[in-house]
Amino acid sequence: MILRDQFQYALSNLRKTRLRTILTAAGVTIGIGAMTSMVSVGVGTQRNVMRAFNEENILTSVTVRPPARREDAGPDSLPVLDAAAIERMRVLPGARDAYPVLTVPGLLSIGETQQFLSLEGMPARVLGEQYERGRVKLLSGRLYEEGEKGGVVISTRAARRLLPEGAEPDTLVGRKVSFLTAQAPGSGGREGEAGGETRMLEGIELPPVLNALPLENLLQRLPLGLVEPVRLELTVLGIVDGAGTLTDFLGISLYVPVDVVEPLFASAFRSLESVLTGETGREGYPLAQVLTDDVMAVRSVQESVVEMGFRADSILDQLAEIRLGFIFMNTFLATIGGISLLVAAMMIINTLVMAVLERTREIGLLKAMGATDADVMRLFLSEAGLIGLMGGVGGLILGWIVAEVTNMIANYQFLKMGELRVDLVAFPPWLIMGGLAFALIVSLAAGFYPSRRAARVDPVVALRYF
Amino acid sequence: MPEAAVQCSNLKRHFTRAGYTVRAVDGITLEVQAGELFGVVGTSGSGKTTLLNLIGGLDTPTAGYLDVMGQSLELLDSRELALYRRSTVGTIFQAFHLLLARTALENVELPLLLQNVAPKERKGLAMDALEQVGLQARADHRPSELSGGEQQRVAIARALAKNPRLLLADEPTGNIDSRTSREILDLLQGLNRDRGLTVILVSHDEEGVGRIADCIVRLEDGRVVGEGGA
Repeated sequence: MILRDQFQYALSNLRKTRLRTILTAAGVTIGIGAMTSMVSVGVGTQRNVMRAFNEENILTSVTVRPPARREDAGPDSLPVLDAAAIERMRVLPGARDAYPVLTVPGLLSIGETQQFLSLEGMPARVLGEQYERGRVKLLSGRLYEEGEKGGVVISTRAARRLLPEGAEPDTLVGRKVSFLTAQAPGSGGREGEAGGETRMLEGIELPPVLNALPLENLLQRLPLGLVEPVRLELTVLGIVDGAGTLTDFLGISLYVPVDVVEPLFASAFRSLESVLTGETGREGYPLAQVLTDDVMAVRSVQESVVEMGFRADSILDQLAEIRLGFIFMNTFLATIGGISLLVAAMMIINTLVMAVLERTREIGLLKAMGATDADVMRLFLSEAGLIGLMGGVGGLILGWIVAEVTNMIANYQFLKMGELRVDLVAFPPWLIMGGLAFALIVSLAAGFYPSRRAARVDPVVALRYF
Repeated sequence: MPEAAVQCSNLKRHFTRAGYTVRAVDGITLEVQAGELFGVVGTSGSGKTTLLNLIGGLDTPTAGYLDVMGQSLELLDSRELALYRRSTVGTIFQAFHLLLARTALENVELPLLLQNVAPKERKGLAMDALEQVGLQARADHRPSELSGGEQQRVAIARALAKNPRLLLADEPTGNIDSRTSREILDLLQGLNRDRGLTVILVSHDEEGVGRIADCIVRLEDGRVVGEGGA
């Protein structure tokens, strides 16, 4: 039987049992729909992360950390990740820039609004270069210049957190903001700026800085007397989009020149542990970033930094792992969706086994007229394949609808929280083709047993007793 | 001297059911000449249908020799037997075995589908076959809209559509009234005479078969117990 006749014959048989065919195909639709919608979210996430890597210098950067401390080596034998070391890295072959990565968390106040945010040190030249390359979009105001102090550039996301709902971020430009952080005692903190009378908590006198904060505030939970407040008064210079850094994937930081944040950082605590031990960042930077000319230079720069005695990582090391992670995540999501496809496969088996029983006489007749076992098997496999195709197409439509609705709901929440709109889902051609192919393969696999059963029908028995 | 269309020698088909052996065909030897209308008569359970199934390639003999149109059927595997049924034999059944959801034309087209005949040619051949049995006007009718005699005519058209060299008719008048039976038997006789088609007709209606057959064998318990010309 030629292929076209075979499909027409199969289609006419499916039409005869329309409701059963629709219900069975609906099972495949739900299975493929669940699978593709879940995978589309996984693929969308992967795409967003990889896009962030590409847009934010991450592919062309080497992350540098101080050497690991060894028990047998004295502290003097280890190189210090300081300004001189970073300058040496800046002139390495293949490197185009190097700067310390300095992040100081604190409380940002503007009017009545207070938010915990981080102050990111970013050289004016790096911010300017990102702007020129289109990786940073200046939405309002301007960027700070080399040597300029007292100004801060705020990301849109951070701005939205500071503003009432519905207010435009550019209304922040030119306004004064206050950044409050803590440092070790005796580091020159400006005590009392938070003002007010002394307050007591469980019989212990609170430092003046804590008077400015609500009692449930995190700072109040730090061991009392171990911190001193530092306050910076800054003017908002500009609002930017897309200036995420190594330590700020979400792009919710405030950006200031490195020399503004450096004095704060030198005496700032980096963890609760550092508060208890009194250790601050006085002995060099904990992190630096070397930017390379291109991806090809990353490996050689990384090796040179290691030769200098520091630890160096690049995204190249993790890229394979990240990709593997996404493959695992997508497979996991597809497997969850695939469970419903398994149920659909059972429905196909059931439908076709019923069809074989109902059509035993027809099978016997076809064989009496000269159909081979393979002909009969192909006929039933065609029916299974058609159910799979119909269900697959329906599943792709359903999956797309579910994914888009999920995207809309999520983005509605994001916008309510002051975040930017993100396309969470992706339907690349391979997902569409893969979804269809998978529906077809599962249906054919499910149709194999009933088809073989049909092929084995004895025509003599079929024509005599059915 | 006419050529033999079917030759069988000491043909046996035994079944074992629950330890009991049924000798459905038990050593039949016969010869059907090409262009002959050959009748096989006998009571129910005498082995007529089993013999027809063996000649039609639907069943395989337990022992013996069976040659149809120059092919030794006992040597063919299941695929070769299917191809033999497709190309050589047309079969008519007592219960018609028409597909109820398909029209008369579609039913007649079925064997041509298996022969990979192109759709346009297939329709033409099917219509020709329906015309031969006088049902071209009922081509678009479903079996449920046809009488028993008309359904059997459609079944005959289906068997004829692929232009078989051998027509096997298994109790073709078993489910229809006597007047229609006569018409069906006349139709088979006409096909035999006009087209020179070899027909093997199995029936318990010895009188009806005797009226049209060139040669008759009588079966009993799987054996030939009598034979003779009409």
